[in-house]
Amino acid sequence: MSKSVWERMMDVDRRVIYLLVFILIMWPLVQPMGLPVPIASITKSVYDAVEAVPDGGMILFSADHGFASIGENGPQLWGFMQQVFDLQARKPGIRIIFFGFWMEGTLITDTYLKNLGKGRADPNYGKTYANLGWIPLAETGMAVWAADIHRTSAKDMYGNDIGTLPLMKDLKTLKDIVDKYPHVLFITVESGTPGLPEFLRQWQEPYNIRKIVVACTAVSTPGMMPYVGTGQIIGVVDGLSGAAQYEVLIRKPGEASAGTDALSMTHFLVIAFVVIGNIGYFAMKGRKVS
Amino acid sequence: MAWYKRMEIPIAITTVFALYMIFEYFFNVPALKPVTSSLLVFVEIMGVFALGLGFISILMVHVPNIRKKRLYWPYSIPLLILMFFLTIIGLPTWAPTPPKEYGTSLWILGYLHPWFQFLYLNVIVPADATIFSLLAFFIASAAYRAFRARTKEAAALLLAGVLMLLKNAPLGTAIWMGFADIGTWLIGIPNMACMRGITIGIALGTIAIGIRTLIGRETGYFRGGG
Repeated sequence: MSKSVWERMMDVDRRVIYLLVFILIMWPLVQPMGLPVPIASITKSVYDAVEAVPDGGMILFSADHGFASIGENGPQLWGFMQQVFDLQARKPGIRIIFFGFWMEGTLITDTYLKNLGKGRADPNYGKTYANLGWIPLAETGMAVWAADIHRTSAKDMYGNDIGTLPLMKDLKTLKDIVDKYPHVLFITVESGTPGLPEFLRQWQEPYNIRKIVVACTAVSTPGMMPYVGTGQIIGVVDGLSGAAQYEVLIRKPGEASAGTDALSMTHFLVIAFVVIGNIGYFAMKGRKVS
Repeated sequence: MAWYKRMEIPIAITTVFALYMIFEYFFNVPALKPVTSSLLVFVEIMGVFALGLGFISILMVHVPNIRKKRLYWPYSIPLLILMFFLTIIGLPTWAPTPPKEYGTSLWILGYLHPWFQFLYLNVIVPADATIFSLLAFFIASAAYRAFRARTKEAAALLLAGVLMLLKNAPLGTAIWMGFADIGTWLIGIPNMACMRGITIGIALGTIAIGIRTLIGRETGYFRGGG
């Protein structure tokens, strides 16, 4: 017996859904719609916090995500990196230390540094910024690094002894960083554990690092909100849409801005299918009752 | 049973070091800092050995897979080849006389080597991102099947889900800016309240597990379950 229209509405073949998702992702990428991107207050707070780093301040920059989430975390990381180097160009006293507690994140940081013309061949490397690479062992690694930077990150990403880098020479512990630099901003781009809760336990409370901003995958944002509410973090860049907002704020549209049109289309497709499924469900329910 | 096989020994070691670390964390004693630092570095070194253990573990699973031609055994071959290949070229080796522009050292092999970079940029990153991206298709299909207003609670979940979709999609806020306000309220008030409850629950659970470990009641972490 063939299915009724209502039954068909309740049971659309998943291959049809997959095909439509594929088309609606590809279409806006080929033909961008350029929809306006409204700026959320939690994104604006992050942007303002980075801009507020004074000349002579320190930015600790941790890339704590894998390759899998590069679609969301990649544009966030890229946006932050462009902003911090622009900021350093305007305020030459700012110092930046890159590192990561996820191995893949540090490789992506290095790739983006190269794209910005920075890294080991740059004459300013080691003087105004440094890339310490991956710090293993998650939360334990955070505690170890904070207690003894030179023993934990004996060599930087490029194999240099960090004691030979002028920036790192006198910075032996996280306490040294906090004592030497009156304004320390910590940026973490992350997609899971280890991530913010571990930083709060190992760094914020013991070392009194108050200015923390987070960029995370959209699925992690609900978990970040309690920390925004308590003031433990300043703000959150929320997934791809947050990255697009950030690109608007730094006035450098890129991958995220292009991706938000695809995000819009697929979100509306899901809503359309949810509505169709529910119409079918209630129609069938009505027929059974009658 | 030999004395060194007794369970009391690892429990005593765990308890002593855990109590020390708790004391050091909550009471800032400068004299203890070097001891703590050395202990943490020791833990880090121990942890890195786990990488080797993981390597051996993969060999122990996949080599017999291939030898006995178990289900899906052909997939084990590229896994082992790539594991060895990436491990070998990923191991850093320094050039004895590096060119000046590289400073004091130059990696002959290692993660900055062009071969590793090629595999990383052209195989690992796209493959990993592609697998993760497949979620978009599954989530679209799952949302369609799961979001049915069968009960009042399911209807509330459905409504909240749709409003969040409209908030996150720029097209939603382009149609009506109110979606952004509603979505922000949802994530900032009810979600935050729930997440606080969950966070506090996790913290209490962690404390309970910690206390059980300290008094030797939690033995799952050694001897395969104790």
